[in-house]
Amino acid sequence: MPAWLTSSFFHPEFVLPGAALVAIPIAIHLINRMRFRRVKWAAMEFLLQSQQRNRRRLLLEQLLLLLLRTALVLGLVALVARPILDPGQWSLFQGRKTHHLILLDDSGSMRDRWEETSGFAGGLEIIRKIAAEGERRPGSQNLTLMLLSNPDQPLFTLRTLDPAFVVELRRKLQNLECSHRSLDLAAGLKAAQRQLAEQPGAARNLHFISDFRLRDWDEAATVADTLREMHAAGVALNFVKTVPERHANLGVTELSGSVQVAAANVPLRLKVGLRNYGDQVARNVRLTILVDGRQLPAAVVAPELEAGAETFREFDVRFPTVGPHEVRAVLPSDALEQDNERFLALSIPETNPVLIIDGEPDAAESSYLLDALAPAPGITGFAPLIESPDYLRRHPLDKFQCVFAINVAELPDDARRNLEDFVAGGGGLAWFLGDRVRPAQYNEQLYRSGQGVFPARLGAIAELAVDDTNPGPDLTFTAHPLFKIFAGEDNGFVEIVKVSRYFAVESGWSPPPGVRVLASLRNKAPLFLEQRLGNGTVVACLTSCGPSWNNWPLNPSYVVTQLDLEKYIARRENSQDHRIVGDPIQIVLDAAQFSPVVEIRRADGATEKLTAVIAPAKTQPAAASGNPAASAGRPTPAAQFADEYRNTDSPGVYAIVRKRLDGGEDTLRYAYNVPESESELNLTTDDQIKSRLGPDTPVQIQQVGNFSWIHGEESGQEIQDAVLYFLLACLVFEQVLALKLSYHPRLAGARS
Amino acid sequence: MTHDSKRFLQPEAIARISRLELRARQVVEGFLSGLHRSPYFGQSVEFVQHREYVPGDDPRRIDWKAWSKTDRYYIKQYEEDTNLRCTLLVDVSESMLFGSGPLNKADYAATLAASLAFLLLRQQDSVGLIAFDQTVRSVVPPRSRRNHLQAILTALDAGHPEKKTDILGVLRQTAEAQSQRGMIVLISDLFADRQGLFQGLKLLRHRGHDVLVLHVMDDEELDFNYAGTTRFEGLEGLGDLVCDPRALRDGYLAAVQKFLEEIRRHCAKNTIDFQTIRTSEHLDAALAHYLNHRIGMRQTIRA
Repeated sequence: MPAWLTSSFFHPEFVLPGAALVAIPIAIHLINRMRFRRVKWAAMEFLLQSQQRNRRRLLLEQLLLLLLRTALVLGLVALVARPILDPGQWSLFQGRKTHHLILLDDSGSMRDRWEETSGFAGGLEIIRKIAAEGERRPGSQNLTLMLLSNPDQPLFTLRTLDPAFVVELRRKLQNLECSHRSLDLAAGLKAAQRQLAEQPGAARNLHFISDFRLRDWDEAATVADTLREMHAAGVALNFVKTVPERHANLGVTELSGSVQVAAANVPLRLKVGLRNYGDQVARNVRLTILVDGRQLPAAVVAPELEAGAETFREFDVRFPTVGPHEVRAVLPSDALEQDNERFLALSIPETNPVLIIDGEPDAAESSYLLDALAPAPGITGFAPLIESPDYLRRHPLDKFQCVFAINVAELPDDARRNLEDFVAGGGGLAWFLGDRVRPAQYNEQLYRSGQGVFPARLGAIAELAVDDTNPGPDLTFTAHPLFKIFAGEDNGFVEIVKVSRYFAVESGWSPPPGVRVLASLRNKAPLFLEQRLGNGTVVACLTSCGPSWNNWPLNPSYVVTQLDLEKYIARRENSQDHRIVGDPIQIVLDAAQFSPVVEIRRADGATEKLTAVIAPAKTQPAAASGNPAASAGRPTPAAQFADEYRNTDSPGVYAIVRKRLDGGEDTLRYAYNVPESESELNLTTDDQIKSRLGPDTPVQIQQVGNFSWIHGEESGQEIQDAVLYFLLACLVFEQVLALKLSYHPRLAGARS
Repeated sequence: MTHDSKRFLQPEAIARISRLELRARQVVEGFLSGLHRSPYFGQSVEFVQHREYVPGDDPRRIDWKAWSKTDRYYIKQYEEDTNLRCTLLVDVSESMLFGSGPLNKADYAATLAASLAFLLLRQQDSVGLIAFDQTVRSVVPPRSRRNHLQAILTALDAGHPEKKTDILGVLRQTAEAQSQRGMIVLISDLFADRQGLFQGLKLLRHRGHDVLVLHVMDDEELDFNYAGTTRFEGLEGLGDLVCDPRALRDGYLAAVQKFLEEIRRHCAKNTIDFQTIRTSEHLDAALAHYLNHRIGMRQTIRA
């Protein structure tokens, strides 16, 4: 069958037989001319006169009648064959070879469910229908199918639509699942543009099947540019919507806490965030908390959550055992299921060791700190160890979460380097000063023009004179997690903290970039300074840890602040609560300790094995190694296995089980959660899309549930109506003409 | 008995003549309620009027009594009774063969002529017949004998018509042959040269003949009720035409009406009685018209 037929009619099989029917009125006409009766006629004179007079009119009338009858037949054929008004609108019906590139949005928001379907299922259905339509025109249609989650590796590239391929495609679609990720629309379209650019000769169509969320089109400059370029290159743009309306959606936006200081049998306060993404108020939102699969007796309840509002709730969890634990916050089911859960993976130690280096042999000052961090075993989960500065020279610090240096006079180079490595590797360091401190040593060795582990250049010891005229507090705090106890106006704790002596910063010194003043004295002299160094945090307090220079250790706020300080600067390696689905897991194994074979227990319960390969030592990413010992304070091993695990699409907890050479196992656990952006279900309108793209980028936008464009019914329907009216007009005209041209005795009546 | 007469003795011819006679009898008998009177003045018993003598009149007709009283020559005129000389001019050309009913025009014309002849002979009028097509095919001189009808019937059955109509020639010939004034009844479809027809009729009128035109037409020729593609094969060699008759009907009827109107106007102008007769009509109609015409004509003349 000619290609132009298939591209111009819904039912091209009827066209040729139908066209043959046109011969019927002509044949009848000719047969009538050939089959006549003979009459011997006397009054030929008058007949010839009539014929002579009416010859031209008769010819025209007969011709018109014949044309009308032919048109009637053609109209009937057109009604059955259903011509397409504008094949250019939809290239499935174009005669020439056409390349259809389908870009399917499989971002998390496509999981939006309603009734018995979802946005993604709707997208798959559209692909099936396109394929089925293309199958009816074998040999002329090529299809490329790519997912937005992996645009660089299309599922099918330039495959000819034929029955065999359609079967393969259907099988593939059957097993296709929507991702949970937030995807880059611009990158996907760029990939599609590259793919289409390889077929410059053919007619090219881009069918972008998506839910068209507002956030994707808010800042769509790159997208608009790409689409404009594609249009300029002759690509027909067809946007297919799969989600009809915005649905109500609640999501868990956060599940976090100071997990770095969590310890067995110590209550850990966790924070959970809830957000109402819908446009209606949500009432009695009940959040279920599961710890290691067991539901906590008390649920978190938000009585009322305004549209678009976010609320945070806190709850305490106690982990009775040492080892891996999992916390899950679950909302009741709604349109978008994936954001109703949030995971937190923890590895709970028995205690969290803290090193206190006290410069004074009697450790009088540090005893206050010791009492604050661990008043009794098992209460705070901290295990403080008080040592002299020499400890830093002889021992690795990896096992400590943080180091408190109290009234240390000076540090030898090796101790200083050990401390610097410790901080760079993620450890926390807190300085408290005292009368033993030697400012010159600090400035030269520890500050080192901002490169060292001390955040300020010290001047001399200064006295904070008592100012009777100013009864205000000695301390001024910035809003910082360290000083939550002092937050709020008229806080009674602030008033009672008095500082008598402190180390002033060197005259003329001002905090360089990266150093922040957290608290100051009333004379504006900085008292607390913070500096990020490598992966670690350094906080320096320019007064004493004990009561020698201030009365703070005698106040209750001291304990709280010290505990908060410990939480703040503690190594955060244990905290894995910010991984988003799709992020790869970097696997780096010390070849001296581990086998290259790693077992990965996925969130959905499946298990995979991965064999890492030998990698150059320099590629080792320290933060993701999962082995703190490998990254800090020790020489880097010469041989490492490295790999990357990318199949982290499902939210949940992934366990990387590493096999030690000695036969043991070592498990790293990662909690993966869905991106918050995918929870926003606001839809963009056609007008918004068109205004983003601009008037010079025309695009067809197909509405949800309307598949007629695939069959071209939309355009076909228009002409079908026109054909129907044409047919009726022909019929009426033919009848009128036939009545006029024929002789009807009753009407003609009279005899002469 | 002549050779021609023998031909008519053939069973088919005899049957046809008998049928004609019978038809004429059936038609005519209802009208013999009274004899017609001649519209012409001749020698008879019933005086009509005086007329002044003009040279050429027979001196024997001078009324000497009137001369004696008035000193002028008058001629007495009497009503002529049975001296009607009627000549039936019957068209037997090929066009008369057309007929859509039981009788074609030729048969109808022959029956009409036979009926008139029978009627006239019953009234002791003398009847003659001229059958013509392109030329005069047969001539039966006017006689008033009762057995003269046979001669007329034989002449009417004068073979198969196959030629065109040359009506001017025939009429002229008739006018020349009929030295005595009388009645000329032309029975034809008049499908002939129009001008010739008019000239011929005018000539007959000039010669003082009373001319009666019985225009025989078939129903189809007047109504043209044909449908479906038809090939009309022209009689008298007028060619063929394949057409859809429904499409040509209006034009055809208009042409026929124009033709009839033209003849009717010409006849009225020349005091010629004209009557179109459908072959589907019973002969009563034709004869009733004839008799009415005769009565009307006499009254007209006497007035």
